Amino acid sequence: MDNERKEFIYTDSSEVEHKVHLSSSSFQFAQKDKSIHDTKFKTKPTTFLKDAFKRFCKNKSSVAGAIILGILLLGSIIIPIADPYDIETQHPNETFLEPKLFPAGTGFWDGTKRVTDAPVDPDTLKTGEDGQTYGYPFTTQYPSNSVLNLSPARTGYVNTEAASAYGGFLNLTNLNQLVTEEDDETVLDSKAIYLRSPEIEIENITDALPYKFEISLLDETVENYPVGSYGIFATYYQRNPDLEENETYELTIKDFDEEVTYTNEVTTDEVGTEVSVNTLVKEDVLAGIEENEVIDASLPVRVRFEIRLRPNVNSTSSLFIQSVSVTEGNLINPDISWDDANAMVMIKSGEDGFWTSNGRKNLYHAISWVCDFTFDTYAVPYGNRSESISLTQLRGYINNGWLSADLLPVDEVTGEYDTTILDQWYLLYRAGQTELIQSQFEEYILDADHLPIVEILSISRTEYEDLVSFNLTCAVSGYKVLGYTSMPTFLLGTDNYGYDMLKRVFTGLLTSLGLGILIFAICFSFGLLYGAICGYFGGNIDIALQRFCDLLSGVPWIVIMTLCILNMGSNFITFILAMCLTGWIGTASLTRTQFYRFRDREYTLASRTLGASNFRLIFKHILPNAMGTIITSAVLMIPSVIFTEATISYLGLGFQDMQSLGVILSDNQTYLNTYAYLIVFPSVIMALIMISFNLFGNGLRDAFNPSLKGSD
Amino acid sequence: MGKYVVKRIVLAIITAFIILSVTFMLMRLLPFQQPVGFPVDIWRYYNDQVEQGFVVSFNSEVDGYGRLLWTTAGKELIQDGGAQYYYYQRPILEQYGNWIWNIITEWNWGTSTSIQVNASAISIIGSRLPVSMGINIISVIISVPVGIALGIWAALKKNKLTDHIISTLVMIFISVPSFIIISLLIKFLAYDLGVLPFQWPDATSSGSAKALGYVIPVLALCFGSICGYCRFTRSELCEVMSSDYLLLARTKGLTKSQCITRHALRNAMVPIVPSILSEFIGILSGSMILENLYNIPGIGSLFVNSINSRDYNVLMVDMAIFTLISLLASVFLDISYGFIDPRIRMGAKNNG
Repeated sequence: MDNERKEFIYTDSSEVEHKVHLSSSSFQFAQKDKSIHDTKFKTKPTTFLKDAFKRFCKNKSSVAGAIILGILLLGSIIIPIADPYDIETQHPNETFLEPKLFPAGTGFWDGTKRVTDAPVDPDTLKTGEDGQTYGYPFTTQYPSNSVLNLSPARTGYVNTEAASAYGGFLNLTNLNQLVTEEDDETVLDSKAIYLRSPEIEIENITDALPYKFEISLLDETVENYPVGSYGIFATYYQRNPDLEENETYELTIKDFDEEVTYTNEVTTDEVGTEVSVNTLVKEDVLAGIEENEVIDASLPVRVRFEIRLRPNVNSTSSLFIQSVSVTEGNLINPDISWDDANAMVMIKSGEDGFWTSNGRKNLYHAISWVCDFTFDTYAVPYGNRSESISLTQLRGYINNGWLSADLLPVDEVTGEYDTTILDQWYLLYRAGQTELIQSQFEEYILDADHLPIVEILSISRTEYEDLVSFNLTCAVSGYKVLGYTSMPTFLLGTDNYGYDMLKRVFTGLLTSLGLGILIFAICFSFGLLYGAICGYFGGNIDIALQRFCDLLSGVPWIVIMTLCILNMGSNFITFILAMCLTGWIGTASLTRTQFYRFRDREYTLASRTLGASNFRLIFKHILPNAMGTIITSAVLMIPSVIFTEATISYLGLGFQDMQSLGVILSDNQTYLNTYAYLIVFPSVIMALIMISFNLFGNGLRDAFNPSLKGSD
Repeated sequence: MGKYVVKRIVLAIITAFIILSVTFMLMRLLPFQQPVGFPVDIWRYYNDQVEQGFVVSFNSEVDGYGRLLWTTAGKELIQDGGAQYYYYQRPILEQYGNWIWNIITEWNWGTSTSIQVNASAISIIGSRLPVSMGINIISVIISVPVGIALGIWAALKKNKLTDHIISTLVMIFISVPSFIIISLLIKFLAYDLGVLPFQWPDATSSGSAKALGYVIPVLALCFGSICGYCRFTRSELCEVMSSDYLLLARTKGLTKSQCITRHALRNAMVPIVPSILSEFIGILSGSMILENLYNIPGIGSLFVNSINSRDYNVLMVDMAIFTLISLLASVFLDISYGFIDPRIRMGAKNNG
């Protein structure tokens, strides 16, 4: 090594010369024995997916959407398992219970609903502590233990069937509807309904005074009650003593169905609202009957008047009758006079076995006591009520171990409860001890959680000749009778079958989501494959496959669905098949575009030059880049499947044997006005699913493709 | 361009032909539906079918000739000389041929079996089409200007409070399915407030009642399409607003409003206008659920009715209408793109 020092001269910035002596030992190798490469990253490496996830988390609304989705999905798995109520068999006693979360009477979400202007049962009217009159509602639909916050009774107008109401109009409604305009009288009359008078007897037809028929009708159109055309006619007949009682000679039917001029007069009824009434008078209604028609002059002629209401085309027809009377000479015939519409009797003509009709009677604008109250829907099926308990039931309770066997006598010979002695058990054992049994009843109870009897109200004994029977009237707890050990609470109420809506909605949600995810999986994988082949290979293969796509995508989905369902029936498999037939096209065309985009990039070319196989190029180089866009659009397939399924249910082609959101919504559509909660809750769940899927999808798109952010 | 248009139309016609043929075959494979009505009507229906070439009639029972559909034997019909007729189904391919022949020569698309027995299916559709179209045209007329205006407003106020409110509402209304919106509209406007009819007023009702009847259907249809137009306009306009040429226009000294009206809006309208045009064709098909829920006698509710009453001939024509409309709309969309956007026109020339 040459260790000799040499002299070097250099000039610094201020033009001063320096001399230094350097030898080779003054120098040393930089990076000698070191391999030259980049230092390792201090930060952790990130993958494409992790990066996307990080971006996704920054988007708050998308995260919220994802969380809601997660909760709904979890709910749809857990709730159907955890909810004990049965939604397979119908519960006729437990229908239309309102949603309940808080105890009844709290005023919000408490299983009650407000009832206004309910007719009052006049028997229950009494003066309350505050000096006002109170009465319980007339209809048995509202038992007294279900009535909360009862308001004082007042007079008001009601449309009711209540016998206590007076005044008003008898609403005669013909529910039959014609499809097209009909001229044939027999067809018209076969679908008419009739209001029929009692019969009057006329001893001597020739000497009879002229009869006058008078009918007063409401001269206004009532909303939702289309006016019908009506006719009045009288039937004359004589009863043949030789025949059975019901068989008659029919003499003639006189039909007064003709053009009538109306006289409008405004009458003021008692409560003070003006109602316009139209009176129609028919003079001398007997004039049509000929003497020679009478078969046996010794027999009286019987006359019956009828008001006939014919059906309308495409709507029901209605008539509002205020009063009907028949006068003989100047005297009102007491047999046929109704000045109070409530006294009229509706006869369904079908009862004769000849006429077919359906109609209903209802008083319109009648005066009655009315009250307002809060109706506790749970009190009806689950509250306490008095019920007569048979010995068979008692034996059942004893066999179940709910009630002590001491209550019933044991046959001394066989040692069992013998049916032969059942009617006499009380006589033998407890004669004169009813009070004792009543007061000591609690001692006999073994299992108060299950035993429906709460208290014995009365024990009565009836003797008829040598038979003695006992009647046990007890206060029973409604929910225990139905097999519950505690008062049930339905968070979302129950529907017309008595199904728990909470369970039904979430079971339906599970079906809908399951359907969506399954179809997504099938369509996504097939579409990806199809699109990849088109996009990667291009050329003639692409053209051929694309033509097929064009053809298939030309068919509206509704046509494909309908054809599949009509041909194969509406079930899960058909639905998946029908949705998958066209569902993959979107994914396929998107994949194809993405493949076209990345196929000719330099990095792909480089890889191809290095000898990469098609398989490697597709799955290692192109697909990962294209995946983000494809998966985003494919995820949005799930809500669209749910939407499609709901639409199909609305069209009447939904699942027959499964719950789904669409089936629930379309089933309950008829209760939109009366039980709105049946529509509102499934709708909210459906809307939540849709909104959160869209938020989630937007977040995914932004995460995979940051350049698109903000462009909705 | 002309060549492209012709090519597109020919392709659509071929597609329509294939789809309709397959639909016809599948419909004929369904279990046969007997027409509803008196024996006389049914007899008339079968004679009609014989004339149209779907059914063949014999004077006696014949073994081995397809399925026996109906016979006059045992029916209380006055027959010429006591003759009885036995009606057999022709093979499906034969029916198919006759079906096409009937359409080409007589424009006869089949006969209704239960909705209006013996009425021609095309006349039933024809009587119902105007109602569907009326509602949809009104809703398009309302929703296009409102939707585009809202979209422009949101885009101009991008990332401000106005934009957030509009975008959120649009997101909600676009997500919530239409049948829920319809149900809620009927519930609140018709049942609770009582100002609007809760179903389509019938033919006998007064003019004002009929006009009120349009409110709920039009509103229900508008919500969705307003949101659609708004979202589309906003995203297109936002994209244009961030482009370089708009920056250039600003630096040249144009005011902001000049920039937006002369440059941004014009370019943003390129994809929007064709979508409106194709929507105008799409309106023919109406909205099935809306018509069903609101009892509107349009072709959407006809579809549901014909499924429920198993009137396959009417159903077939209804489905054909939907198919043709959707094909027509897509052809129209493609062609109108070419007319509106010069770049695409040039591209089409190079390719085709």
